[in-house]
Amino acid sequence: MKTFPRNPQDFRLAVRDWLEQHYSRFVAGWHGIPDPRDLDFRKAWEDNLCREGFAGLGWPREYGGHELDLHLQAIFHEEHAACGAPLGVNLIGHGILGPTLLHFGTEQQKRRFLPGILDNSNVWCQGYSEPGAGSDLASLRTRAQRDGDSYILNGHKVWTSFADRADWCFVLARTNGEAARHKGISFLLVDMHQPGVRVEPIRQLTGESEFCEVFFENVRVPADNLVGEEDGGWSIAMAAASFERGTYFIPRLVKFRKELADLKTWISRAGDQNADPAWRHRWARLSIDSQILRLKSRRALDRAASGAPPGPEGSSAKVHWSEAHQRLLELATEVLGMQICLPQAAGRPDDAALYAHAYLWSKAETILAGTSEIQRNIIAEKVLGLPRGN
Amino acid sequence: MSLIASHPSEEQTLLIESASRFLKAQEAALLTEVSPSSERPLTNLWKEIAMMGWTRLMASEQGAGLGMSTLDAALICEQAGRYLLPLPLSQAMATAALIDEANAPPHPDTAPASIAIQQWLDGTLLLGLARKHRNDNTLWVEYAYANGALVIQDTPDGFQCVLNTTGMTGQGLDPAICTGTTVPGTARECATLPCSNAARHRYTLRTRLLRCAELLGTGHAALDAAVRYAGEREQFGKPIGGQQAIKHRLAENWMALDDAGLLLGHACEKTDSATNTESIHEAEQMTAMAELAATEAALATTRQAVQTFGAMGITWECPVHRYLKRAKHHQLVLSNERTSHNLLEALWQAA
Repeated sequence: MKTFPRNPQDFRLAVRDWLEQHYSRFVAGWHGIPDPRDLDFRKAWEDNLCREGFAGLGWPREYGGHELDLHLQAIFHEEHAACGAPLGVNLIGHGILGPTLLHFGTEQQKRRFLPGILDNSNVWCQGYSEPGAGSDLASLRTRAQRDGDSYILNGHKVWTSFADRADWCFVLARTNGEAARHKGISFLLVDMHQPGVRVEPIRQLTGESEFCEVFFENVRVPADNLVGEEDGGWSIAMAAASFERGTYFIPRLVKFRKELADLKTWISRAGDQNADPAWRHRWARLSIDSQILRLKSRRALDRAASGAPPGPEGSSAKVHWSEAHQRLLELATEVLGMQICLPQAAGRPDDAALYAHAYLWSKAETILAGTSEIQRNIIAEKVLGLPRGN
Repeated sequence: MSLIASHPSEEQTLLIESASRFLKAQEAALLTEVSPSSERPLTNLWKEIAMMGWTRLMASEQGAGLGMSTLDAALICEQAGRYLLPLPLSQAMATAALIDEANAPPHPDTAPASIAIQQWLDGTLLLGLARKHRNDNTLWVEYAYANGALVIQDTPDGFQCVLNTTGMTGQGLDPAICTGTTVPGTARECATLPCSNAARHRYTLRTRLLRCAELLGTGHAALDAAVRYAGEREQFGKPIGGQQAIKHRLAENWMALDDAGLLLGHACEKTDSATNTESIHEAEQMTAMAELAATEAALATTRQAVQTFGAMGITWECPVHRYLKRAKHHQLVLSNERTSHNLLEALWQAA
């Protein structure tokens, strides 16, 4: 699908139609077990989408994009999630680095890096967190020292999603040890396939390894790969985090609604005899959460589309979604009962396997991308104007 | 400024500002505790409110109203809740809209209840509102400043209104609201408000939504007071509001109020546009959500505000208890008809 209707209703129908046909065809043709948790499966579907032109939806035409407005992009994300297709593995490239380069990159950087994102041949990861710099990101210690026309990078990053699959990493590194914490940090694009880069996957509580540790030992980064000014990386990183604000939650909310529908069926099926009467009320409360999240998502989208600066609504949506999702999955495991504890049968994963996995993974959702505690600090300080704690 | 309209239009901003300005100027009267001599200032205030057109805000312009929406009415009620207005504004607004939508006055128009309702909406009579207590069917009345309370009951022919004489009244849980019991009126005093099916539902939804808007305003004012205090009060050499144990709870209060405001705004829009069974059903669902969210948010916020003020919070002198009492008052009136159990059950059944 190379051209898109611009009328929202036509666009939605065209995308829905395309996804219905192509996703089921893709699943049928998949050589292994089509498991939405399988990263190879996710990457292959993402490749497929990119090949068919579903990349750079909001990017300018001159860089291979489609210049779709934010509301049309939102429709795409909604329909994509609704057809049951999984998220890809290069989300950081498409959602964060691409827009960052479009805003802050040099012409040469745009020409060099954007095509690899559009065709999904270059997977990106985000080198921010460090063992000593989690919520307090500005205390990071990875150093990049200028040496002629390059930087020498040394340091240790952690919780780097998909680093073991990534071809490139955008790294926050300290280029000035003398400057104030936020001031001496630069934003560098680092080739992951070079000497001195070592990636160690971290086994998570789900048993999988999406997160990695990344070690940089005297890694040479050409000065051309500096985005923005030297020591000016902090504001780029902050802006980078806001590019997805209008659409980030859409696939998550669609999934939330699907899970609620599953739960409704299961609780109803359990009948009055076996169902805990409290389940119905817990379900009803989750339906309110779902409605609130939908309204919040629409408000965030409208704000982003109108060009208003990011407000605290992102923090509130993050806390609400992640905590409500944990409550939903807590209920789902109780309703499914001991099935959750069974070993996974061979073949296509059943509901119990998928929900057991989702239950465990939801524990990460209140931690990654800003913990619930940090989000509450942001609301208390930015909305209510309360003093900082330290 | 408003939790219900986070991005108000220019007209809405003006409406909110003028309501806020007017109510702020009346602050002393609004906080006055009920006593045998406190009736007069509120009677005058009720007249002023009616003269500004607030009671007929949702009535059409042909019906001597302002032709505004439920959302607009909610914005005024939110401010009323903020400044703790102890008057039956939300019920009057919904009643005026109902009469206007029916395009027929209460009948028979000579019945004392019909006359009383018109005077009430004109601002010349400050009527109380009576309802049956869930537990024992006694008639319980709020805003019982003058001798006269209206019972509005849903019947197959429309809403039946009976004018009662008030019995024992006085300062209730909320020291600014006069509450008490009433003596049932006679059939001679009865009037009927005719209405269509959609208007009947809309009336009920509006009375609930507008009371929720008051609740949100009260919760918001309590949060502002708590935040101000937490930023000023120092212990261990730092403002207590820097401690996560306090700031996180206040952040949660804000989130809960903001969530309820979003739901409430949405429910108001759905209520105005509800015409057929399906859209009425949707408006009811949204209202149930908003009601649950608003009562829980306002209760949690006002409770936490008392806690944030520490020992000061439990004194009569520190006004933060007034927010808690107002929130409790509205919560108990709302839950007299629908408990949270009923609301959750309805949401489960509706889906």
